[in-house]
Amino acid sequence: MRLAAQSAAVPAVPGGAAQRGYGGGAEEVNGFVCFVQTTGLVGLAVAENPHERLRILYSKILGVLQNIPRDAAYRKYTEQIVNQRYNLVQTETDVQKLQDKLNGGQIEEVIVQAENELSLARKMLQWKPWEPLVEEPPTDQWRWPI
Amino acid sequence: KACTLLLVEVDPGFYGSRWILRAWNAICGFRTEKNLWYLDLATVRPKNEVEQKQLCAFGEYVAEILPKYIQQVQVTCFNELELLIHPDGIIPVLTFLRDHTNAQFKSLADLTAVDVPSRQYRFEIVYNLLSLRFNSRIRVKTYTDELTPIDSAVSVHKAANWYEREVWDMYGVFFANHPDLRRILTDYGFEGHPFRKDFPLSGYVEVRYDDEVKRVVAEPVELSQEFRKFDLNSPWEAFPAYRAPPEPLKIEAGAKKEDAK
Repeated sequence: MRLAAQSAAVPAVPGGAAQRGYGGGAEEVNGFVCFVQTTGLVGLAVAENPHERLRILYSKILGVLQNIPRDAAYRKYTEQIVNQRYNLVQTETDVQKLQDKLNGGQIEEVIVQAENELSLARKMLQWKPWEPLVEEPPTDQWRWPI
Repeated sequence: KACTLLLVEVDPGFYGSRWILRAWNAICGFRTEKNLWYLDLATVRPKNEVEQKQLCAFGEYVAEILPKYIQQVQVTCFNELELLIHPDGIIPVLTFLRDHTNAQFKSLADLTAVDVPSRQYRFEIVYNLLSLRFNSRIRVKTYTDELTPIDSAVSVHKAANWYEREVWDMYGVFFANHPDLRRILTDYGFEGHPFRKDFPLSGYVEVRYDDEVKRVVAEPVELSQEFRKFDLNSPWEAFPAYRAPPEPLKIEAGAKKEDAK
């Protein structure tokens, strides 16, 4: 619900939800125009078989999250997000429609984001941010105006 | 008989437009003098309640996920979300804000420090982040004093490199694990940290070219006029909403009376 609220509140970045466009040239061969696939983003190659890649990443994230205590907020919310996206990936086979449903930019960007989430989950295991506050600030540290 | 019509052009100006508005209101009777006539003239930013609620909700979300480091969350009246953090939590919080799917604050817009000498931890380090995916900004604040080092954010955002050099140069805050922490804005042999509140406006040294030694020399600064300090405080109270509550009178235990025989 939070994910929907976040992304529905403001329109997505203009370049993010772009169609899989054609690259530099649309070549005309025998009267037919062939389109060269590209993401349109520098350094981000078109992913072949994105469903498989996303499935692997999401199952890895869920595996890492199992080691976090069940009552930790990070585990709760991340599992919610990941399960939602996992279900969408499994039900939707068309890449274009999957991009629109996920509402997270191009499918390659979604893959990059899943990789980031995986590395974050692994770091969270070490940092353990669900524990109570490390140290209270001095009394007037955050008082403004002084 | 032809009547000539004289048209006189009068520039109303600020007070003239008020006169015109008043006359118009008297004729039409829409608004009285009390009803904020100046709102038609002045540009007053309208309050955005929706954005305020969204930012509050997101602030609570982050505070729920990272209770170990977040000491306070606040949203300013002009819709800016601020997270106030313990210094140990810089790298965890910045990494979370960069990598988490609901946050994705991939861009470090600014890294600065604020010097408040009266506090125990006088420097307040401020990180401004921007999320391109969700088009929103967030501010992360930490604290430190002159001698305590703070973790460098370069491992999380490459952009922090020169910003941290600037904070080191201007305030003297040391960043641990920074790849190359050296001065960036001051002169090569400059001593002192200019943005601190106890560093004078004119500085301590002035430079000039000395013909005898054929190079630039640094000498103690000499001002032609002595420094004048103006007391700019008004005789009236400035912030009535922020008055410190009066100290409650404490009844101290006096010397015990000796038991009467």
